[in-house]
Amino acid sequence: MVAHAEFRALGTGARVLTTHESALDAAVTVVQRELERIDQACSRFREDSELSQLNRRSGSWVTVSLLLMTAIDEAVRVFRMTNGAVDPTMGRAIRILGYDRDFTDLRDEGPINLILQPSGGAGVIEIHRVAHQVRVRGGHELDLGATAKALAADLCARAAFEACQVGTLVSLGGDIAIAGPAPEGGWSILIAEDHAASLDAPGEVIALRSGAIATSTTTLRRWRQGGAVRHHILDPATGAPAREHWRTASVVAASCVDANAAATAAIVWGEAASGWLQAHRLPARLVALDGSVIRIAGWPAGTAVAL
Amino acid sequence: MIDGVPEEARVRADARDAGLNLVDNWTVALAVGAIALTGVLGLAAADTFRGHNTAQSQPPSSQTDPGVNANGGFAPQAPPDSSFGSGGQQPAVVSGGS
Repeated sequence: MVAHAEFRALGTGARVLTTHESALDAAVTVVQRELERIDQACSRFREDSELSQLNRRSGSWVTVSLLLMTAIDEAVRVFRMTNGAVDPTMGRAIRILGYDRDFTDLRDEGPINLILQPSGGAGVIEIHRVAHQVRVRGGHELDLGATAKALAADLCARAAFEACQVGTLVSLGGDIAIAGPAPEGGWSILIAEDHAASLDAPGEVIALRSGAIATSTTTLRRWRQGGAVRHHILDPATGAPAREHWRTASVVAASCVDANAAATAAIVWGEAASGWLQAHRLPARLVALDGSVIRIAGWPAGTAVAL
Repeated sequence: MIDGVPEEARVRADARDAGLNLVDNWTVALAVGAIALTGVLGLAAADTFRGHNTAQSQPPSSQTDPGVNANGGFAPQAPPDSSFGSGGQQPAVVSGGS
């Protein structure tokens, strides 16, 4: 029987499901331990995190943990995979745009002089794998937000499965990773714009047996700055919030990192994203600004509607 | 007197020529300096007051994709064909933005 637990982590809602109720507590313990390690390594909002220390010493070689090095490696891979649409060097840009603290603490602070900060691209990141050292050149700062949460879901699901040997699903703010055998019929997942939506809210439901799913949207994490409305998905080509063509993109991939990267890139690329998703056989559901929906690469059509 | 030109007039002509040469040299030097300064200020201004690109990001072209996939391993990994289940059950979790 599927069992679940909920708690807060990484500034968002976390949900852990196991196929066996008896394994839930052990799985949650493993997941929470992993999440604490990841938060300590990758958080942009913790002064004492490794990432904050790296950003403070921009331009210098800094010794980092294997976990942060892995997270930066994944961010660089995603940068190349998405042709730069998901860029880890946007830390300074998003801070300048006013998103410089946990989202719940943001408020309008009046008029500002907007300075667009172009991205540095993965080329400004140097990694010395033997010495476990990283250097970010050109005054850029790293923001691993786009990939670290998804990487956390992948790592947590795998760690919980390896520790408990039961099917495990981990959701971190709607980024979902699956490890081990799924329950009969698959894990039943409601697709919504907000991961905090009620399970009985109306919407499409899909069933996943393996892999991962992530959803990106411009409808949440919007804030006002100097009277202008901002959202948190930046286009590295301009340094500004991406032009809105799709308001929400959900993508299924083998890993949550890839699903999240593809979903975020789809928002940034707009209309051009559908061909790329199709070419890479990534099942996706894209919602346009007017609410119309397109389904790509085998995303199940006419799926059940939640009660 | 030399060659019928009074000494005093020759000295004045030499002084005038020397003065004109000096002005000519200064003019050339100032022109070169102005051009160089314009270049230096232009470079400094371009670096300080950068414009911004208004063209949005684009996905990799289909021509470059296969090379990237084969050489760099940068292609996303699609889920197995058997990923989707039968569905229709009460959802256990929500995938949405955060």
